[in-house]
Amino acid sequence: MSGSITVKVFRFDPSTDQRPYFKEYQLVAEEKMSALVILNRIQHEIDPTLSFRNYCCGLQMCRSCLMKIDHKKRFACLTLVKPGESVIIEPATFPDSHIKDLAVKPSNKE
Amino acid sequence: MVTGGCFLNDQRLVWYMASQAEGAIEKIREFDVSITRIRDISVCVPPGELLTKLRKLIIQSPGIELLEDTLVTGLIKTNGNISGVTALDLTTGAFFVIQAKAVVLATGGLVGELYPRTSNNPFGINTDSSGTGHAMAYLAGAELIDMEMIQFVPIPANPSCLNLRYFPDFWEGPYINRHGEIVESNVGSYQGKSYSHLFVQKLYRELEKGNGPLFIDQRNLKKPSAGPKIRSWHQRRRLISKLGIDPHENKIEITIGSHFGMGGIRVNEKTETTIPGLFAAGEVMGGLHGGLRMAGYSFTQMIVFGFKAGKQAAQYALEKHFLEVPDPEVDVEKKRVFGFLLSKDDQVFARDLKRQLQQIMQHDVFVIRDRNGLEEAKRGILSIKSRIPALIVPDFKSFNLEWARAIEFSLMIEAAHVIVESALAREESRGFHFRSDFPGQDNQRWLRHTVIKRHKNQLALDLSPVELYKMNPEVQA
Repeated sequence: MSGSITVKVFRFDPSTDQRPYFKEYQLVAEEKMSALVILNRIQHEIDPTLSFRNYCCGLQMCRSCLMKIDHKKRFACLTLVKPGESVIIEPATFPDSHIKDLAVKPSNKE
Repeated sequence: MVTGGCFLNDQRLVWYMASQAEGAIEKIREFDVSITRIRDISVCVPPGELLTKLRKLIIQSPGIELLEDTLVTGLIKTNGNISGVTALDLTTGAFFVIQAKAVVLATGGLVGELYPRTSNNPFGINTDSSGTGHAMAYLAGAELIDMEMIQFVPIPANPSCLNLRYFPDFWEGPYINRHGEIVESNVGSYQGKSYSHLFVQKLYRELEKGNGPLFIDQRNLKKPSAGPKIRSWHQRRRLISKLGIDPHENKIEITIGSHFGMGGIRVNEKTETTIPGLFAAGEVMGGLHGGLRMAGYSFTQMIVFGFKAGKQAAQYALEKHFLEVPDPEVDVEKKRVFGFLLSKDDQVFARDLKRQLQQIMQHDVFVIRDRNGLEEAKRGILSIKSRIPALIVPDFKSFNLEWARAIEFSLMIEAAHVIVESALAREESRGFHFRSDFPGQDNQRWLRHTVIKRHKNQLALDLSPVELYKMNPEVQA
C-alpha cells in the first residue's frame, strides 16, 4: 500500500510574511495516516518552522486539531489520508483568531 | 489498592481518597456532566464533556484569568517559599513572571514521552506526558518519591488500533504467541487484570523467548453486549469499525508500552508538597498507588485531589502575602529559555536527543531491570544531559513548536535521571519495579520509599519507611 502523500499546507507568519501562501510537501507513507500525524511528520522531518496545534487526544474530545482539510472543517486527528492521495490543509479560521500557519486561538464559544 | 500496590502506597492518601471519592463525583454532577453507573462500584464520566464544562465555568467565573497557550518553564522560590512561576506565551514568545502566593502543579504524567511506545497517545503525537511538572518541582527542591514505579501495559502494536485500549473486554484476551499457542487466557486471575505487573512480566518474557509477535485473538468469541449507552463509547465503536480493526474480525497484534507513573511529587492528604506554597494533584503526585495502579483509580485521584488542592491553595493564599520575586533567578531562567534560540557551533535537535533517551529507557529501564543496565542507562542519561546547552531551534517567536519541545526536553531529562537513580536504589522487586538481580519482594528491608531531592545542586537520595497506617503485610498474609 506504500506510496507518496502530497500535502499543500497554508503558511502565514503575520510578523514576517506579506501574505499567506501554500507550501507543498511530499511524504512517503506505508499505510493510511491521520492528517495530524502527517503534519507532525512534516514538522519533524522536513520543516521545523511549521506551526500547528500538535496536541492529540485522538477522540474528538479536545477539539484542538480542528482544521480545514480539503476545504471542510474536520478533526485532523481522525481524518485519514491514504498513500497516493493529495490533501490541502488550512487553518480552521482566517484571518479571525489566526496566530501562525495552522494555529488559531482556542474558541471560547462552547 | 494497598495489596495491589504491594504495600508501597501512602495509606493515608489511599484512605483519604476512598473517603472523598463519592463526594467528588457528586461535585462533578453539579457541573451538569452526565454520569453513568456501569457497575456496583464504578461510574463512567465522559472526560471530554467534563473538560469542556469545566473550561466554560472557568471562563465565565469573574476573578479567574485563564492563560492558554502558555508554557510554565520553572518555579520560583523566595526564602524557601513559592513566590511564582516563569512562563512563556507561545503565541508571541513573550517571557513573563506570574507572581503567586500558592501554586498547584497538575501537570499529569511523565512516562508517555519517555518511552518509544506508550498507551498515552493514540497516534504517536506528543502526549504532554513528559514529567515537566515533576522536574520543575525537583529543581525547586521538592521531594519526589518512588519514581522507579512505572506501569507498563499491553497496547496494540499498530497505532490506529490504540482506540481499542478503551474497551476493558478487549484486554481479557486470549493472548496468543506467533505459533498460535495460548500465552494467557485467564487475565482475570491477576490482581489488577491486564494492568498487573505479573501479567505484563509474563508477556515480556514471552517476547524475550522469541515467541513474538503476540496477539489478542477474539475472532471465535461471542461479541459482548453493547453495554450502557455512553456516547463516547458509541463513537469509538463506530471509529473502530471505520478503521477496520474490529477485534472480532481481526487478530490484533499487541506490544508493551508505558502507561502510568506511580511515583511523583511527595504530598500529604492536603496535597501539600515539601515546599511551602506548592501543591500537587493528579498523576504528578506520588505515593497513592504504590507499586501498581489499578484500573479506574487515576480518574478518582484526579478529581479527589484536584478539588482538595484547589481548596488548600486558596486557603493558603488567603493567609499569606505575595513574596518579592528575586530578579537574578528570573534573569537566569530567561537566559536559559532564550538560549535555545541562539546559534551554536555544536548543535543538536531536541527530537534526536529524545529518540536517544527513549531508546535508553526502552532498553534498560523497562519491564525487567538490573544493576548493569541501570548503570548503563544512567551514563547515557548524563551524557544526554550534558548536550542540553547544544539544543537549537529555529529563530522565530510565534508558535515555535521546536522551542517548546526543547524547553520540555530540558526538563524531561531531569525526570529521567531521577527515575534511573530511584531504580538503582531499590534493590528488590516490588510491583512494576522488577530487578532480575534482586527478584524477590523484601519486606524486611524495602517497605521504604525512595526519596529524591536536589540538595546543593546535586541529586540526593534518601529512603523513608512506609507508614503502615491501616494495613500491614504480616497481618494480610
